[in-house]
Amino acid sequence: MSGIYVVFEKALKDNLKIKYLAIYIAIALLPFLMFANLSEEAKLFSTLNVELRAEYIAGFYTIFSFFWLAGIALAVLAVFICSGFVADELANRTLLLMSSKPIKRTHFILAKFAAFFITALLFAFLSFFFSIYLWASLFNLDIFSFSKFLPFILPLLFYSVFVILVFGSLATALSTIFSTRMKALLPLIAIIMLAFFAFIPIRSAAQSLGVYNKYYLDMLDLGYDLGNIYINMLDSYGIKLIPPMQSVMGTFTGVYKIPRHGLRIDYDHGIILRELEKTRYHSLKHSMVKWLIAPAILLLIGIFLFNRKDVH
Amino acid sequence: MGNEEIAIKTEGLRKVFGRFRKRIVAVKELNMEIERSTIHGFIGPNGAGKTTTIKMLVGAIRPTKGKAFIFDEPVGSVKAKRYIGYSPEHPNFYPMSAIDFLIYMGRISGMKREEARKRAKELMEWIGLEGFENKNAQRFSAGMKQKLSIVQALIHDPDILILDEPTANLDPIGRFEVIGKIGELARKERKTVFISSHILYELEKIVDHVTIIKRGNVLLQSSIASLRKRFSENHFIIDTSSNKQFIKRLEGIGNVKKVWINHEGKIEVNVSNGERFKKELIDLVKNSNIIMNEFSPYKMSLENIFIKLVESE
Repeated sequence: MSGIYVVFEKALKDNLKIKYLAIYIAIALLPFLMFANLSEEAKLFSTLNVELRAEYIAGFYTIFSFFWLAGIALAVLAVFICSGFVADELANRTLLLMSSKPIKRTHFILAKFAAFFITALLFAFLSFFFSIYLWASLFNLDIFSFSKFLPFILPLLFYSVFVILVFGSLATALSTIFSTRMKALLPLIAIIMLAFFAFIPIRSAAQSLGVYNKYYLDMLDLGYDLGNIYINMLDSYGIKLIPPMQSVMGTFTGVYKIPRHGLRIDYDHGIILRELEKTRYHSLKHSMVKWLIAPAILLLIGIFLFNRKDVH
Repeated sequence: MGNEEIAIKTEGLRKVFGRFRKRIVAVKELNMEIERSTIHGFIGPNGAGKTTTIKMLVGAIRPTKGKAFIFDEPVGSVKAKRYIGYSPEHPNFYPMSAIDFLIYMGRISGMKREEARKRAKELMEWIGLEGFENKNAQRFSAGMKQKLSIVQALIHDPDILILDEPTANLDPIGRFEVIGKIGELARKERKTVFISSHILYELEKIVDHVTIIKRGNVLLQSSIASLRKRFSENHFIIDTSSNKQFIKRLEGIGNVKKVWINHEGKIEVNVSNGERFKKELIDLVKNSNIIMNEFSPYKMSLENIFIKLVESE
């Protein structure tokens, strides 16, 4: 067991560098800065009453967190760190030395994975902290509005754990299967694209043509499953998005049905007349199983192949 | 099995790389036994399968067929790896200071941090790397990397040292120095050393046993003493006051198979029966006016034995 701890400790030390953290936080905060300064929606906030404004700002934060902080940024971090677990050691010719040391290859990979998990969770937590602070500063939030953010932290952290495990497993598995970082990167980028972007244009077109369910496109729609998991996690903590935010989530993930004639919102009185209905293509269990089983199987295959790999 | 005197044992070890048309048999069927506390040279021409065999022994490569054991533990197992210290042919390290790297290697092998630090400092001084403890190991010269690699192999004080071309990147002085240190350490601490090298005149200074392989098969496994005996038996060097005259007289002896003057101007003679030849030679010298300056058994170098064996196959 001591070998695992030694590898874990070194990997953690390699990951936890102020330079990397600063770069990650800067990249994580960039979309928030851009949105607050450049978007039309951000200008709209000043015209709303205090309560609705707080709901909007909190809602946009939730969506940014889904797509960016706990989404693409974490997935890319996983890809960046985990895809090098084996490839970098091979390129550096250090894996040959490590192969001769009294540590099981499975333990070697799991130690690195554990170090990545801690790193990613810490980076995610710090990025939430800094982004909330930035978001509140950019919109001059009062204490009432700021308190709207606090319930998000826990479900966001749980969702982050999910994303870290899923993308970490995928990247680790592909790192063990392929010998170069580039070979591992290409399928990982494809999975990120599929999860976050690919079905945005396809979904609505397929739905309007009536082929989305008929031809089982929903089974490939990883973006829906990711959104379904996220919304369910928020629900389980009693967090409800306001309909305009549900509409945005619906557009990007297909979790909510978007009314044909748009939302009925009375901005003057701050009244939102009804909530959007969920599409419920899949149950939470279905979405979770799909996202967890495939990476877990791939990770097991990767570890199995890594144990048999010839190291030169 | 169960023999603690056998440090390394292989039984029909085979390694095939690739499939179908790209299939390469790197090691055909390797059977060998390496005794404990011996310094064992592992030699063979390029592509003979030396590095592949070594990588199978250290657990980096899985054998296609056959078995291998390190003190009765299957190669590749954690228990087997605890016995070995391995230095690869082209070592490279993590981007960290030499001392931190050595501590890391020691700790992975079960040492405590301070224990590893102390041993690392001692070994760095022993091999001549003192003063470089805090330098980035990745930026070391090839020779320094080679030395550091030997040190990392020794850090946890293993019973068996497996060294793949440990002097490949060293200058001639460094080569003799390192080879000498390895020999001295092995004898002093009764370690088993399994060492491959192309530079046979260096290797023969320390090895007491040798395995010669060619195309993935063992050509010969023997102690150096019996090997020399085998290849030098009935082969003598003679130097007289008139070699040109004396060689003609030697040609007349029926026991002599081949006689010639070598590059040093001395007579080399191959005979059928060495003992009989010695008596015949005494008679021959007695009955001539020639003065005998030298008569000695020919001591064939490892390199010559290797060439002779490999060429005859």
